[in-house]
Amino acid sequence: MNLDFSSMPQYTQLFINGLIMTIELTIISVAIGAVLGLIVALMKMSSVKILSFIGSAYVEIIRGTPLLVQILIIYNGLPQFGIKFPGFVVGIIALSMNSAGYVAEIIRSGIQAVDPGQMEASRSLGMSHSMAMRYVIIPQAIKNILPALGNEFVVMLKESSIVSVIGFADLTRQAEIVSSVTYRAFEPLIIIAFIYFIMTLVFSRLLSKFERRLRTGDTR
Amino acid sequence: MIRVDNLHKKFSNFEVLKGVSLEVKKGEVLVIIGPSGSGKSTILRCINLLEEPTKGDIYVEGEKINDKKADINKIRQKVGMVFQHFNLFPNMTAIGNITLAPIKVKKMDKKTAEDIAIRLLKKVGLEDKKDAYPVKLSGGQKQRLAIARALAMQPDDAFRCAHIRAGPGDGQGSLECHERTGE
Ligand SMILES: Nc1ncnc2c1ncn2[C@@H]1O[C@H](COP(=O)(O)OP(=O)(O)OP(=O)(O)O)[C@@H](O)[C@H]1O
Ligand SMILES: [Mg+2]
Repeated sequence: MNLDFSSMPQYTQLFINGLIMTIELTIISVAIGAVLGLIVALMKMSSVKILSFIGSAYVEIIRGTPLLVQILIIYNGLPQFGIKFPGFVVGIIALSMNSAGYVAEIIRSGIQAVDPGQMEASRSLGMSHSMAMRYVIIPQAIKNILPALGNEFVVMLKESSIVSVIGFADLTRQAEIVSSVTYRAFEPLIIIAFIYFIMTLVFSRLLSKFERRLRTGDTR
Repeated sequence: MIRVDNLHKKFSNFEVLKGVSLEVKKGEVLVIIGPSGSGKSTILRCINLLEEPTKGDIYVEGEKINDKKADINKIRQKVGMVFQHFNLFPNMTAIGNITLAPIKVKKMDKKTAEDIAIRLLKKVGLEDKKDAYPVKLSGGQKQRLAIARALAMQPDDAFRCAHIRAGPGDGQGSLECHERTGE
């Protein structure tokens, strides 16, 4: 066994660049995914049959196929039809679209978890459906949605490593680069595993703190 | 005035209401008593169109409400409803529960709505709980808050339909549907 980290420090900048890329990609993807996801969720809950069908189909397809396959379809498949994006854009498109499928379910279940009696009480007071949504249901649903959305961010932080296969210069890709120049595979991988671990640990902790505050806010 | 004419309600194959007719005049108090699960709440829910009647007609102030052309949001403002489980808004204080609909639906300004709310809270003996959230209220206090919330929408001429919960061991729920003027 020969473990030698001595050649690693000179690549610190590469790891940092990769780390920044990973965080950027995750933030952008989850943000776009949240907006798309909200639209998909609203479609899925719509009383208009065709919209609700499209919303449901989107969620099923995204959640029923591997992320890697989704990425490869966009990166390798679409160019066959003349649609070609640079790796960075493909990464964002694929992760956003993927995230949207999961976020849509988070939003839908967060809204549906609100006691139906709340909608009835609002309607009995003369509010329209959309007023009731806006002033009564959504404010309560947010408490269910935010923690799950934070969780989606943590998941995406890790899952985003998959974009390295299409040459996206994220943290994982940087480890491969370092590995190819140093002929050392184990060390760079252990380094990035450690970085991923610390990141998810920190975010998860922050999240559960935030979640506790949301919950105590409920029983003021 | 509320008039219910030959009201039928079916949940899939389960017929709960088989031709209920009743009439409540202004100032009258009607109490419907029946075994648990006999359909008392269902009658009230139909009068608020929270359930769609399978058959029959419901008139509020002479206007047929189970009609495609009826403006249901307008009618509901005239028919106050206190739910069996109260359905208070857990994320709002007592006063917030009362003022939400007057402010948003009737476009009342906040000050006026709060004045009305305070007056109603006084009436139901909850003045000191105006800033309390529903979780901090006892069952009876929740019920009184729910009554105040329903009343806030019709300060001058109002119908109210209220569930009064059965006492423990009573075995039978009882229900009041009454109409009141103003104070
Ligand atoms: N949405 C629904 N779907 C199917 N069945 C329902 C539904 N709502 C009510 N029921 C049934 O209709 C019957 C009447 O219910 P309802 O709530 O009107 O009873 P109730 O007389 O108010 O009883 P309680 O005194 O216990 O409040 C019950 O048997 C109930 O199971
Ligand atoms: Mg009942």
